[in-house]
Amino acid sequence: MLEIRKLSKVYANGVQALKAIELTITPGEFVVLVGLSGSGKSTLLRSINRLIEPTSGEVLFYGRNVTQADPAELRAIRREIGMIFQQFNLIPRASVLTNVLCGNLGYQPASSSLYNSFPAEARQRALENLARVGLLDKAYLRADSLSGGQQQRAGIARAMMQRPRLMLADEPVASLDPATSHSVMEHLERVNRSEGLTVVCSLHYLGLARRYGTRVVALKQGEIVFDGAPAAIDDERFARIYGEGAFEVESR
Amino acid sequence: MSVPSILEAPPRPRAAYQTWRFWAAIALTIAALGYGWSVTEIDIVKLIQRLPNGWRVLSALLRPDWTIAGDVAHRMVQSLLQALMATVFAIPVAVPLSFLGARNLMRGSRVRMTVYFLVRGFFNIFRSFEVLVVAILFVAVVGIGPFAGVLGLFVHSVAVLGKLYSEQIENINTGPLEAVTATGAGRLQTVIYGVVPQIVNPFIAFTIYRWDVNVRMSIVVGFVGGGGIGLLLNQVMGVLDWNKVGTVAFVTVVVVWAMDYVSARIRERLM
Repeated sequence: MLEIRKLSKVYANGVQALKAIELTITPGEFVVLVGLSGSGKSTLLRSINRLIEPTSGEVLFYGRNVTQADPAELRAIRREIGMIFQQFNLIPRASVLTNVLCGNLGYQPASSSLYNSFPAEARQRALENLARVGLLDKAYLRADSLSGGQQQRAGIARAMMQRPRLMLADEPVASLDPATSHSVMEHLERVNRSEGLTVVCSLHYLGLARRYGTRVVALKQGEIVFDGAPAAIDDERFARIYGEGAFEVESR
Repeated sequence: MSVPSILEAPPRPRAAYQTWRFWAAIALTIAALGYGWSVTEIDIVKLIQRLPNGWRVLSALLRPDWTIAGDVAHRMVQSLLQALMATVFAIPVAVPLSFLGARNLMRGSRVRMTVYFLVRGFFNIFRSFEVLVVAILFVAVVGIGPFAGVLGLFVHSVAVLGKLYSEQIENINTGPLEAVTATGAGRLQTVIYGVVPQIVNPFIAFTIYRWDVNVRMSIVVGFVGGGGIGLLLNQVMGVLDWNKVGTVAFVTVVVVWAMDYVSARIRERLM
């Protein structure tokens, strides 16, 4: 469902973040991207929904060419791809409910722009999505009054509002403590298993990757150096991904 | 690992006072001060000799002539309202312009960037024209009176608010903006949900601050014909009636101080 062909990205300062990446993802997978900081994980994720413009190559989402799409087509593609972020990226002063409702913007005509004017049906679904992540009682609170883990769950609710077919997660738990990290990852796992939502998630900790992923793709300096089952990462492969002298940190 | 000895440490950078540039700057400043002293005709002796004069004026200022109290009050209200009108009418002009003057929103096409530069240019020009100059121009156009004052303040406020607003837009956190874009929202929706919530409070705070400044400026503007209390001040100073000047000064100080305090408290709650 997601085909990445010869994807390359060179930034303005000359750094080549991605080098002709080839990757195919099938529906229902829980793909975990791992690699050192700067290895290209974030660039790869953001190239999928074109938050970053690739320098060359293509991304095909259910057969539609994301990299060549015109603005209207891009909107239509993006609304089927949900995304959650390391910094949560909620609108701080707005209520949690309004934040979740933003997930519906892709389905509303671009001209419907009065603040907080959402159809009743969307409001109902937003409340349901909040209930699913356990935040219903926080619906009318300001988003910045929530803890990190709660904000990330609100982010997940927002992404689920889009009725997505793909979920991208850019280091969703990097700012969270280990216990909260597991709680958030479990939500992702749940939507992956119960609804068959394909997830592509970048993580720092291999332990989390092994626990939640069905497939691990490791990047190093813009290239894929490993692509397979989590269990197959032995010490030798670990050193290849993270470099000599690196050792694994337990995230229990 | 052993601690490196002094010999192995990297070379210490030179302190400011060890460079010739520093001493050249000091010398230049002293020379400028010396030249300035003579050019600005500073004469301490003269100041001391003429102090009794000043005392006479000061004691008159401290004995205000309250017969004109009604007139002063009326003119003060006029100035306050001038400032309010100018600020409020500046808002619907400055806000849309500020979006056009925000680089992060206008990036991406040659046409948009041209508009950006034009808008920014407009802001810069009318910010640098002192309100005084603009007000005098309007006095020449519509005659002496509060209308000229309002016009002068209005034009200046649009430029200042526009620049402040657009700088605030350029300083927003891009995270929420990115997230809203990623949901498939269109451009306008992205601005409404990603940009506007982050700028509303700072915008209001700037506007209140501008009103506060405009009150003080309306006094100055009045002086050159823009009506309000400044015009009255000009008139009583013109006949050297220092008691009446005292009345005007007293009322002005009280009102400006009160406005300052209120506006600071409101802005505190907002930011």
